[in-house]
Amino acid sequence: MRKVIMTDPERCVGCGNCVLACSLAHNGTLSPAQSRIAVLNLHGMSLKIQILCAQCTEPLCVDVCPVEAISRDESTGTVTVDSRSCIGCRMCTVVCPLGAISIDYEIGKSMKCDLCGGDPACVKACGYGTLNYVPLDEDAAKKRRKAVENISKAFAKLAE
Amino acid sequence: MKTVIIGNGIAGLSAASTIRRLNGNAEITLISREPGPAYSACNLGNYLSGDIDRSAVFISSSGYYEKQHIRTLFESVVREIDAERKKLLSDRGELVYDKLIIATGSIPWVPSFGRTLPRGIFSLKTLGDADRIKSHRPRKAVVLGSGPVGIEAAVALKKNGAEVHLVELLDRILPRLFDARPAQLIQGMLEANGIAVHTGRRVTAFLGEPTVQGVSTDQGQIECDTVIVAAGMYPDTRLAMNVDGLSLTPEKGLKVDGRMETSVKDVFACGDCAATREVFTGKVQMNMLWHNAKQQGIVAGQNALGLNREYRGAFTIAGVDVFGRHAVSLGVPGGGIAEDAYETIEKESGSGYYRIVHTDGLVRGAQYIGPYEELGIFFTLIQKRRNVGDLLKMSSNRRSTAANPWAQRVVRYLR
Repeated sequence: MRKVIMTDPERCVGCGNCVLACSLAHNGTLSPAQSRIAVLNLHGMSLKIQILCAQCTEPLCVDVCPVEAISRDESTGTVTVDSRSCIGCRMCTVVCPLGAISIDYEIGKSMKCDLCGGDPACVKACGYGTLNYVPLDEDAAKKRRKAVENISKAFAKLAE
Repeated sequence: MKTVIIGNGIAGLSAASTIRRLNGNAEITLISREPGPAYSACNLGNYLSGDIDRSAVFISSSGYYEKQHIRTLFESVVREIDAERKKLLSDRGELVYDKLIIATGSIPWVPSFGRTLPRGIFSLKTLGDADRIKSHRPRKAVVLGSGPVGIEAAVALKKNGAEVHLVELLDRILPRLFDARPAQLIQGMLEANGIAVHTGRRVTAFLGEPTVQGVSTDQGQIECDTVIVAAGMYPDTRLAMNVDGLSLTPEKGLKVDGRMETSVKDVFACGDCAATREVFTGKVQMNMLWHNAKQQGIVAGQNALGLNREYRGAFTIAGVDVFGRHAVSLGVPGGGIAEDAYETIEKESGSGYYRIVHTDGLVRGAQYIGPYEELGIFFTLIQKRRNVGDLLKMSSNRRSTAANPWAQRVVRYLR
């Protein structure tokens, strides 16, 4: 069963507990610079966006790694960096469309959300329901996509 | 179905592993002039410097091919392709194929200056090259060419205590990736670590025999016991020359369509030997980078199986590691813009440097030195043809922000 972290940005109050929990779980530190999740506070709009790895099905970071240090687990869908092989070349940080992979400057290697091996610390730390670790319902996603396709076709016909 | 793959670099390896992943029964033969198993050419600098062991350079194990039922003919050379009869003539005999994937890679250009090369002249392309350089134990080295490979070689040799001279023909180092100011800053980093950098200088001869003793340039001689030639690569398409109907581009790269098939049916090409369309320039050109080779190998493998997949296109992103400080270029540098006018938004600070290159607001490229990995977002923004003005306006609109929040991370760099 593949599970992913879904975010509900409207619920976020910007407390930053997720960021600290991630740093604590991975490094034993309370350092936002060592967190694999970031919160982008868009002040003018009262909106906070959670930046974390979407565990892409066709990850660009895996494509560009020149030493094959990043891989995707077929069964869980988790994309992981092997920091022993990582050479810190930064190419993964260039191609990620979300900016969700970054550099841990303590070791000079890439770091990204690894779902804490199935028990994400950030989700547990969030007291506002912004982060939820839920099963990825692939069938429902397929159905929605089909529905959108049908609507687009209908609109296209109207436009003719 | 029999597929033969020529080459065990990342393109050939990716093609082989893709075919096996999608089809358990396909017969795959991989022939390569190098001994196996596959390794990362991008890690040779770290091996040369001694930062990593030789074993860490490999990206597959020797058991991998057997486990995947990939028949390998290592240290073997293909002599001729008979595309009409779908046969290869190799020094291990004849090979028959239904689909052929050419992944022969590229060859370093090495000047001879009209004489036989003395000992001590190397390129840094293969693992064998790195082994040979290490055995030679350079004490005084000239590195010819300041592209990423030249920089890697210079840094690696310096880390081993050699005296290093980096010689570049053009007026700045890393000329195809960085504009003048960032190139100057990177040069400063090299010099601060003891590497002598000579730009606007042309090497005119190798001096000495039987081993090199120096190079002569248009501005005097430089003494050395080693020369690393990193002055450019050309595609290895020698086999294609004698195949009727197999088209090459002016740069001698194999012409391929969107599915990596060449002008000869059932013959595919991928990696450094293939000419492909680059997404930032829109041009068909040589795009000799690891990630392009890998993706092209995957697509070639998929299409050898008849899956009809379209290649997304090559893209230019590259970086150098100068004694722990990183410089990265993505998209097109100002120097690569065909139109005369381009503008930059740039900033220099204690942390480092960055510049965003745009033409009339349309973002074309970005270069940075130091901890500016966030600017990687421009990789996506350039492909979406984002305009600086739009990005700034977007940040005041809640709906468009919510639709593309990640762009907001970099808006502050544009102000």
